[in-house]
Amino acid sequence: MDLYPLFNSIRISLISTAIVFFVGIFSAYYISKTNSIIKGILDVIFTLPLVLPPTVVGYLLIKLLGPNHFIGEFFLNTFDIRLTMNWWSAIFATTVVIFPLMYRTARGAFQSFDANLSDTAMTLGLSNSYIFWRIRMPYCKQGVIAGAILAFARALGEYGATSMIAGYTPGKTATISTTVYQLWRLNNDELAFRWIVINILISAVVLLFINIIESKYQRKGAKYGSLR
Amino acid sequence: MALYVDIKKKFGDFELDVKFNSESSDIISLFGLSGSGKSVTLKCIAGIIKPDRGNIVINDTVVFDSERKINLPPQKRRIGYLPQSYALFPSMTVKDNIKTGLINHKKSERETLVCELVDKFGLENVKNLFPHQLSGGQQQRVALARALSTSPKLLLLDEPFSSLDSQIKSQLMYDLIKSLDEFKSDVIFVSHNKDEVYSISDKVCTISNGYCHSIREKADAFSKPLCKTDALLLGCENILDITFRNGNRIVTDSGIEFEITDDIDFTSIAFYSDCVKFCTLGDINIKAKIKLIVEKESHSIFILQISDNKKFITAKLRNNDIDRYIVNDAVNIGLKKEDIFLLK
Repeated sequence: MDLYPLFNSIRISLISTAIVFFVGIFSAYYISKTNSIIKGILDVIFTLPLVLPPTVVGYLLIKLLGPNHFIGEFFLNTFDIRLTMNWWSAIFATTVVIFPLMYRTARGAFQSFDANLSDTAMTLGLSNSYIFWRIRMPYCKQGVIAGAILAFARALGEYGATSMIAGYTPGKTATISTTVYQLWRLNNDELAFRWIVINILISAVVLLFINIIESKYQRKGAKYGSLR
Repeated sequence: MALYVDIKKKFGDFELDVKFNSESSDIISLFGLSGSGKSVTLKCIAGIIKPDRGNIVINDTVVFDSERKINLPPQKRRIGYLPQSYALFPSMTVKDNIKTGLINHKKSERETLVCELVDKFGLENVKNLFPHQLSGGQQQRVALARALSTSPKLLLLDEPFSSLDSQIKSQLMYDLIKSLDEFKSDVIFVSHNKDEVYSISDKVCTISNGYCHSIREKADAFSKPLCKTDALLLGCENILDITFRNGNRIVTDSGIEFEITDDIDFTSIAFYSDCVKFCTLGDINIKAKIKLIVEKESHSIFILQISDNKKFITAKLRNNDIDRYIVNDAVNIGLKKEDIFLLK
């Protein structure tokens, strides 16, 4: 059994989760601080990939990154790089699809943050980056980690947009989900079943992690609550 | 040490308009009911909220001036701020919490300074614990130690006793008075409790509906309320509106009638319930009916009605004197003119 799809799926998921982790946190942080119409508009845009069909996301990505379109054409002509049909092309798809998960969980965590903490920290002479990393992030840690794990799990399961932008090339762009689809088309039930078991196991472990973190968060929430 | 505050800020319907100053190192109370704008005022002074207009000067340093476009960030104002919830950083131990205020010191100095503060505030036993493991009183001491660690030029205390049980409050109040005695700069103490204000402060600014324009010596503020809010804050049970005035003859909405000698402009009067005497030896003597008697531990509260007036007045009597009175009896009450405050 060729384990390349497993390796490729995990590689893609890890990289896109890492990207989304930072971008999602900072978007959430700035959105939770602004208070205007822009906030409402950006919030809709950032959340949109969550509700759009993956095929729509894939279609839009191809129209942007495809070799005959806009950005894709630019990269092909200038750097001689084709942005689609590589193993890493799937990262574009998964990043866009999982971004709302990270963004929304982080935003929720930031909104529950007690502003008195940052206000007081400022009067103590602490810089904004110190306040962000040493006070706000530890306070919101559980929410942010839960968001990252959820995003990772979703990235592993991403199929629609990935298959459109990276396609299915065995040993090159194959992921678990595209492999399962191919095996079903080829009537290879035995191998398909193995991949399904692997997929279910990974997903179950991930969900278990989220539950553990959430129960920890609730206990800590009760502790923090007693401070007020 | 000098302090000058003159700020205006609009929040929807609410308008903050606060003005006071102080020349010597004083403990100034900002005394008002909840929602009167006390906390917002502190946040403006600390630099957390930006006022629309005005100036804030601390010891000759202009920290805010809307006309000259000066608005120092909180980090540069050197103000110690203690919010109502104490805002201890939950992920840090007591020691690390205090250390945050010493971030601009050399690393070698930091440890010594933290130890000094831990020692001074009696936190030796809890220095490695997290905030949620502390009692309310300990949390307050940590917050105070942390606020003072920056050697601030001004200390802001926002209702420091509001989240504590009354049983432990008095001891903490003595501790705080002791700590503040050693602190040689201005302190602004926010409270809605007149006992706290009296025990802690030198000067009092009363604030109501965001408006505060008077700073007075404590004794003066407590003996002479100037407006209805003052009287309410000081706990005057009887605050009566003038319904009729003919020259010097005054009639109030509760039916009390009297004459004043000076030609002063005022719209209401107030007096404490224990100034109402059950005798006819006052300057104003009236017949009243007892509507209700509420017993308390050491004294009883009498709710009295004069003829058919809807507004009642309140009197207070020691418990060993109350046996001869029952509800619906008519009694003679007397009031001394000097006990009546004339309010604008």
